[in-house]
Amino acid sequence: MDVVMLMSVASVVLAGSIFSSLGYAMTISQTLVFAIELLHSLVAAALLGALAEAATGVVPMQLVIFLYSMFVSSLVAELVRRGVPRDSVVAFTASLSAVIAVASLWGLIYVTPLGVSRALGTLWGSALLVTLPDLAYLAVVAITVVTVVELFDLEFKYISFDPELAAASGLNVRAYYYLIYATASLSLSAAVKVYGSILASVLVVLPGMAAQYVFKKIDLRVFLLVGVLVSTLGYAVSLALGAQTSLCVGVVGLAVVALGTTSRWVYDRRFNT
Amino acid sequence: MVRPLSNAVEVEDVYASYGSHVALESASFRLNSPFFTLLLGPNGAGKTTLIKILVGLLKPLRGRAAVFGYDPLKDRSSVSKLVGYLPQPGSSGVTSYMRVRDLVAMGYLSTRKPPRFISDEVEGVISDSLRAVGIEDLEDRYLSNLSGGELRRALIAATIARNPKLLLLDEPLASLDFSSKCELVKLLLELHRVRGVDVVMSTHEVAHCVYFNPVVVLLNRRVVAYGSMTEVLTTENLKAAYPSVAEVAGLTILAEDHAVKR
Repeated sequence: MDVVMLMSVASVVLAGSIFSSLGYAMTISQTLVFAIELLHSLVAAALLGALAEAATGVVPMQLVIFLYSMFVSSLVAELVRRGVPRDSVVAFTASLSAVIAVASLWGLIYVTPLGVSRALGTLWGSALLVTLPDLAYLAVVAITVVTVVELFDLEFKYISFDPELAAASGLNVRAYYYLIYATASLSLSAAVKVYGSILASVLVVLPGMAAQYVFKKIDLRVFLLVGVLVSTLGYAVSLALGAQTSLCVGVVGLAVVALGTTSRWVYDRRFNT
Repeated sequence: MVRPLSNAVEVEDVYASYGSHVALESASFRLNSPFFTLLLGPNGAGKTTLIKILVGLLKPLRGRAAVFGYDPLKDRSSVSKLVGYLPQPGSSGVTSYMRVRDLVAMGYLSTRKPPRFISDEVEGVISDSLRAVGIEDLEDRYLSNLSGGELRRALIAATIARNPKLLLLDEPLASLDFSSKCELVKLLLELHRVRGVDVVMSTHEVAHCVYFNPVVVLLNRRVVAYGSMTEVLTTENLKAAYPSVAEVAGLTILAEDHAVKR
């Protein structure tokens, strides 16, 4: 196995760990829907990041994705806290992100060299284009996310159960929600290069679905197992078929959840569990 | 600096509102330990608002509230160590990935600095607290799989895990069947008498508490009267607090299940 292949496999395993850990944090804190709401923002952040990287040559795409995701999360949280209906806030931020995405796409294609391929790269990613610094960043983020999720497992569950009770008990609920947003933004900034901005939200959600419906266990280890399994299996399929990686990972993920849920249903009916 | 403990609960000329709706209007009363107090009043009387002000979740528009001499907003960490809070039924998450043991552990650990893990010491606290409320067999159950009464007990176990001096309970008897209400009141009374925990409990019902003559704060935006139940629950006071009081066959009937002899 050559170095490029080795690095791509490592990046796929790390991205799988990051997405599944994030999925666990968002499942127990009941902010999973927020991951889907972030899709528009993530596409905008990735295109804006690619534009900034191409235009300046010094601003890394990951930094822009992190900052933009944090900005959108904070905007939604603060407006909702001030009494603006959540639907309106999400609609506004999605519209804002859609405009930024289109403007960044235009900038990438017409202003920077190799614009079309850069734009496509941010949308669907590529494990084969991961560099050594990218891999190091992925490893650092994977360790950080798993550590945060392990350290604050009880707190995330408690604030999602009843934020007022948690606040009355002495917890800084707002700070914990910002910790979740920062963890999500960091995860997405690292993993977008491998799987692209379109599929990222799906990969956050799938391990959680498998854990709940197939294993019937909300446990970080189960999430990690499913995330890494789907990630590497999808990558192997993409190499075997010569197809696009994120597409294969998405299809494999959905197939694992569908087959797993059906098998579980049949097993439960047969053995009356 | 350790502050001297003054009145356990002091509410002085407190005003609160939600937009244009006035929830509390010049509410004032004081409670000295030991006490078992019922906050009584019709819907919209300001019971929940008052409890939230005492826990530090709401800021009064005007006036002053203090718990053991501490301002609940400015000294929230001190207040949270002294007070156990039980939110109104239905306000907590319906779906939760939290087990009973996690809830009780957080009740104990939340006043401490992170990292918060379930150590052997915390395991002991969990067992003791669950035993005190009689649900030790539910330790590993998810909160979403508990009945209303079981969840109420689990929440009380979480509040007593930190050994509070005062319990602030928002309608703990709501939507429980008759025997569960009796059991819960008995449990709270035991905590009050054995562990010396002061209790403030908002409720619409007094029938389960009549036999021990608790302190009653009769509220309808302002404090209509407060003192022992026998002193406060007079026809005159009830008419002042409740919008509709029917008088049938020599009995004063409140909208719910309260009846006071004239």
